[in-house]
Amino acid sequence: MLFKRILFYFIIGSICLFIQLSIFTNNFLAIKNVMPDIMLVLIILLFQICDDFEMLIFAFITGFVIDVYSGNLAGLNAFFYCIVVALLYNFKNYLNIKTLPFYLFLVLLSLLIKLFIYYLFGYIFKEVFVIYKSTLLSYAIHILYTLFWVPFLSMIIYIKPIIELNSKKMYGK
Amino acid sequence: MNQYFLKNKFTIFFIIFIVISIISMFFTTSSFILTPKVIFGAISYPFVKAYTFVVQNTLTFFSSLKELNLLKQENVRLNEELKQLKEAKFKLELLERENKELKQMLNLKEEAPYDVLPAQIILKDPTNLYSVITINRGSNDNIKKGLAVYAIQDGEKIIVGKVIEVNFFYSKVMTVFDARSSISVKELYSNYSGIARGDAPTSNLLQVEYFPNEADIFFNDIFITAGFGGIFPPGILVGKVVDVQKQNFSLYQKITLKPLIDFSKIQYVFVILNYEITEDYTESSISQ
Repeated sequence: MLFKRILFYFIIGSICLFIQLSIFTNNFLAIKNVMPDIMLVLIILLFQICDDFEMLIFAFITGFVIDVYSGNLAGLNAFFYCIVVALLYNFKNYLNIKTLPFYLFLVLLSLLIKLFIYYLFGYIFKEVFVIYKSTLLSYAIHILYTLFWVPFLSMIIYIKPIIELNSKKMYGK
Repeated sequence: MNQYFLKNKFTIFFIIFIVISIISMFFTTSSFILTPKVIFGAISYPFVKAYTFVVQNTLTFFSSLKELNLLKQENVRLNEELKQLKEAKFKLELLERENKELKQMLNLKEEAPYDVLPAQIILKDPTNLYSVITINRGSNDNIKKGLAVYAIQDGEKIIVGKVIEVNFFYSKVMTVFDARSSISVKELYSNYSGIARGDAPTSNLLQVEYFPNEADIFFNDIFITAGFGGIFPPGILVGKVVDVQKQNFSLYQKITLKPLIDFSKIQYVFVILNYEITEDYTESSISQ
């Protein structure tokens, strides 16, 4: 069972990383050179059906992979994804995350937190990571584009094998 | 302790990950060689490489399939084009050859001191050494029995034979190969003459009879029509010597000629219309 779950994380993470990092998909998906944060949407969605601790590890590893292969500041995305998972973990009893508007709200909130984190670390590591005012427009597109992807990606949690694989959390609570 | 860890493993790991992330960010700006980014990159590189390999090859595979389909279509199109071009080339070659032959015929027709009528060979029977051929001219074109026929081969006039049967639209020509055929011939550079007879279907050679023994004839010497008899004009090529047999106790020597005409190469012949026929043409005169 554990092997199956590891395989599940590996496959779904690989697909998302491929979509987010591959030049091939970038050519098709990017709008004004801006790509959606598919991994963030995935982490929020999977948090509902997967184990919390496993999701923390998944978020850290995928975030670090993105940092290593695309980010300027190594650890920034890993940091951000870990923060998102931690927030979801702490507020999971208060959240009704099985409705689409709430998904959208969570993703929007996470993206705003991401912007704050970017500004914070951009201020600390000025020499490698600078946030310009013009970046805000791109970031606005980034937010909208990411939100656009939420309804499509939310279908993942309705895929039967994925539900069966993570049924303990879905129905065990 | 163990229970505490299990109970708070999420928090512990969260702190560890946050610390690693922040340290990694600090290391990014430092001059350290062994940063977490480098370490993580080194660990994950084989996976990324394998992943890239698989993705690239998958994409290449699908693009190859697409290309293969395109290549297949291209191949079919090119094959069709090649076929058409081959056909066109073949037609062009035929036309070129025909054009060349007709040009030669036209030139030689203008040079000839007698009227000639070009005709196309419509039937020839190679099984009988082409002893009789059929041409597409008949009595409708003023063709008569006994008229001489020659052809142009490699730019030279070469004797073909004479008309033996005339129909309204076609005629039959007995060639020099035919055993009934006899033509007065002479050696190209001397005045010695004889009579060349055909030998078909036994062989495709001509036997020269009544050729004086004193004449020195050698292998490959050329024989032409002598012009005696009034059927064949003089100076048309007949054949070349392939065998000479001098007779010790005879006035004549036996010469064997190989006719120069090659029916596999020619399509058109000329019928000499107004060369003076001094003798009545009869079936018996053909066989002489």
